[in-house]
Amino acid sequence: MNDINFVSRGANLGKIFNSIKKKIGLYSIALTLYLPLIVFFGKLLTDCDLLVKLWTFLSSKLFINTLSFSVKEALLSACLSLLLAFPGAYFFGNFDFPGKRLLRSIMILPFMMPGILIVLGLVIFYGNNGFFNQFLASVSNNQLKFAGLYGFWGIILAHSLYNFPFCIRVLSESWERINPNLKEAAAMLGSSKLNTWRRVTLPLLMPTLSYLFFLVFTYSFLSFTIVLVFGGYLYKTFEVLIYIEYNNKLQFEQAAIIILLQTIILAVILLLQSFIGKRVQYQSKLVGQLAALNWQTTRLQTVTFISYGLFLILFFVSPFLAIIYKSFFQTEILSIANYRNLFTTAFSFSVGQPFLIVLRDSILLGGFASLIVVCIAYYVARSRRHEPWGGVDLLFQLPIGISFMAFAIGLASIFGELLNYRLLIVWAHVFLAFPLVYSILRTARRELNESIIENAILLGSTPGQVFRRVELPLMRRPLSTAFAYGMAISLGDLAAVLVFGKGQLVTLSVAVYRLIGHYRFAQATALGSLLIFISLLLFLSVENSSIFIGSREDR
Amino acid sequence: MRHLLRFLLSIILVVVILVVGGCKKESPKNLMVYTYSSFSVKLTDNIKNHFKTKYNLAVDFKSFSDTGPLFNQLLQEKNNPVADVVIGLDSSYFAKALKADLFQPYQPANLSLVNKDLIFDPEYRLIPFDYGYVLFNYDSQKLDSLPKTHRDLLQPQFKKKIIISNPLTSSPGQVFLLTTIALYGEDGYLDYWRQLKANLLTIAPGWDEAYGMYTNGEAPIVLSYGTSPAYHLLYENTERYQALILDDAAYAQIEGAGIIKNSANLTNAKLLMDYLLSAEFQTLIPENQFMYPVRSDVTLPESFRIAAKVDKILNLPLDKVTANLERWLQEWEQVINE
Repeated sequence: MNDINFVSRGANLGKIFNSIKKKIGLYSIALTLYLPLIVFFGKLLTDCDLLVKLWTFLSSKLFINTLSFSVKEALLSACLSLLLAFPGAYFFGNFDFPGKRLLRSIMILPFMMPGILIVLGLVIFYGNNGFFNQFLASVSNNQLKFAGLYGFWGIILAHSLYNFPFCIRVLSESWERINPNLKEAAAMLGSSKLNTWRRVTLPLLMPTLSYLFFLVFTYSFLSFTIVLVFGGYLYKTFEVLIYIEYNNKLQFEQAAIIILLQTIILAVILLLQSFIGKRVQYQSKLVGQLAALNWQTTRLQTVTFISYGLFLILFFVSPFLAIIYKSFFQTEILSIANYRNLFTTAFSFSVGQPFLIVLRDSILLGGFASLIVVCIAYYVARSRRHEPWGGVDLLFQLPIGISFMAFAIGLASIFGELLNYRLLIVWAHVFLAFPLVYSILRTARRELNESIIENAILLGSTPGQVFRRVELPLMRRPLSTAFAYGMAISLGDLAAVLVFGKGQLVTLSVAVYRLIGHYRFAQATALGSLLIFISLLLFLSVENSSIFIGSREDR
Repeated sequence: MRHLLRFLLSIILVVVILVVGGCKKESPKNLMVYTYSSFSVKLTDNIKNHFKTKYNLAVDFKSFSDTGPLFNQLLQEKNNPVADVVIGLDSSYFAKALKADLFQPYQPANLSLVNKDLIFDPEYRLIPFDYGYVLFNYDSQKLDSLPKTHRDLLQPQFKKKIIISNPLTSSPGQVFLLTTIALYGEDGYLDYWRQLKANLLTIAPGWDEAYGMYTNGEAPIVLSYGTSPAYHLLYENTERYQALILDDAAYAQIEGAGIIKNSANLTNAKLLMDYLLSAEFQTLIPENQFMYPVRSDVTLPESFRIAAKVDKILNLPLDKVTANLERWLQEWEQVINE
């Protein structure tokens, strides 16, 4: 639409008008998304004693201890996750090999697992009685024992395990998109391999690296269950303090103050990140054909890759496999009883609803929430396609760093009684999924070759036609990937459904918790495995569509 | 592409229908009950059915994820209450609920049949409807010599063999803290914790994590409920997991219910309170909520033969807990972090 105005008379006026309209549109979206938070913090800020209370907390030893532990733990988790992900991203970004698609889909899985299953997976594999220790005991005649799960390093291990697969995926995608001509040009100009890597590849990866660093840092900073389970009693994050104040001491105001403080800290870190990792103005129109990773031509690399892969599977993928393995044992004998029992009345008794209803509701909710978040995020990404990363984009990343509790309290206090609970949950899921979905679509839309669209307009297509026939097909892959992420986040969410569902809506994640509350741990692992399977199907279908519709030919 | 669009459109349609269907305003006559996620779905269904068939009255339940959100809601609605009855408030929050003046007194029918030791509010604002013991459980395949007292747990042979849940984030954890104060007094309990620390494998945030670790064989002793073994007997037909009664005594966790002050539906709210103490409802409690009924005249099911039988209830007086709990938690935290 804007592009047509551009050529008409009075173009300037139209342009200014349009840009104002666009700005209003964007800010009203941001405002709506953040409305609950504005209400939450607004209430807090009208309190006259706020500064005094804030100061009391800031000067307490508890604050210093919590801050220093959280920063240390989050930094180490982010470093370790990226370190583990880096070789993987290199192989995924530079080579083609069989099973790549499947592996890529698997990488998103930890993301949507309910926290308790991550904990159980780690315990089943690394615990005192876990597979790893059983193995160590059998080879060393009971001499060796791994006891590192409980303590500071256990926390780091758990966080890295949780985050590194996602890092591989995102980093490898941005590696793939590096224009091969750049490397060739550098080589022709006589640059050594190391130099090319340092001066060309690394700077191009830097924005993604720093974004991922920020992401893992923030997730670890906000960690709750993992820190408490493996840290025992020594360690606390702000999220833990908030929970204690809100749920146990029922000191809602003190909880709000800590939430405010936590938000400020993470907003500062977000600003720092955007400062360091300024997204480079770089549009790759050409993507290289990836060489096949095979045994004959790249022997050394293949061997390295296989040993790296084995290392990852052995130490980092096994906890997830352990859950699936356990799901086939109700007693000591291998069986599918846990799965069969999902359909019995015992399931509906513990969970409150029959399995098929739970499945249907989860998928409907996830699909609907994700559709909305993708539409809004794409609208925003589209209207900011000419802008470099920054400003409003940062505002849209903020939900990652905000305690969900603040959002939930705010939302409940304005709309708790007005809106249907399903709408409240959808709103919450849109809020939770927005940063990630937006970041995917924003990058993809900015990298879209605008000249194709301009050509279509010059050839006389209407804006509607251009959007349907040119833009949507070109954006199909990122759109469907974003949809899958949005749905995965909704499927994995527990907090929003518990807070707003008021027991009337049961999703798969909630069902996992209810089963555990009824001592049905074995069945919970089966349901968790199903959740893994559904998400895997979701991501496989996304990857498939991108192969068939040939974004590769477009390159 | 078109298929995808059609698919997405149909999803939107279905959801819109669901949302619109769900938007129907409930008629104001319905009884509104707040509860939280630990209250069994089977019991809420039973209450709904009972009131539907007997009084042609609809009962709506709102189940909160945790005590915090439930309390926050009650405080916000204090002058204009939406809920008529709250069911399932556990004893660690009684003091705070009474302090906030949220409930009104009512003596349900059959109150005389309730075990006197369990009635904690002399003004009858909160009425107990079930209770359980918070105590240790053990895995009989992993533990040969059993401790007899809480002091025995301090022996070096139990090093890293005990999992408890955190008093700051979970209610069984808090009840265990009170247990140690009841046993060793304000002067002795911190010393006990100083020594217990070495024998703890971890302090889990909630019962879920603690019990999950225990059943996966991480440690042979876990803080849980006296009725936990009954689950394993009923569903897995095993007596491997047993209750560990130390010092022949235990702290009772009592769950209460009460009518909200200024409830607009007082008559029906009273009917519900009566029903909670009826023989019909009390009989349902053991195998649905896995707690003991407060009425001692109700016969227990077969599976409860393995549940803990305790001679002495350790509970501290409510006013003492109210006055000191915050300080105790703080002191506990300091000792644990030493």
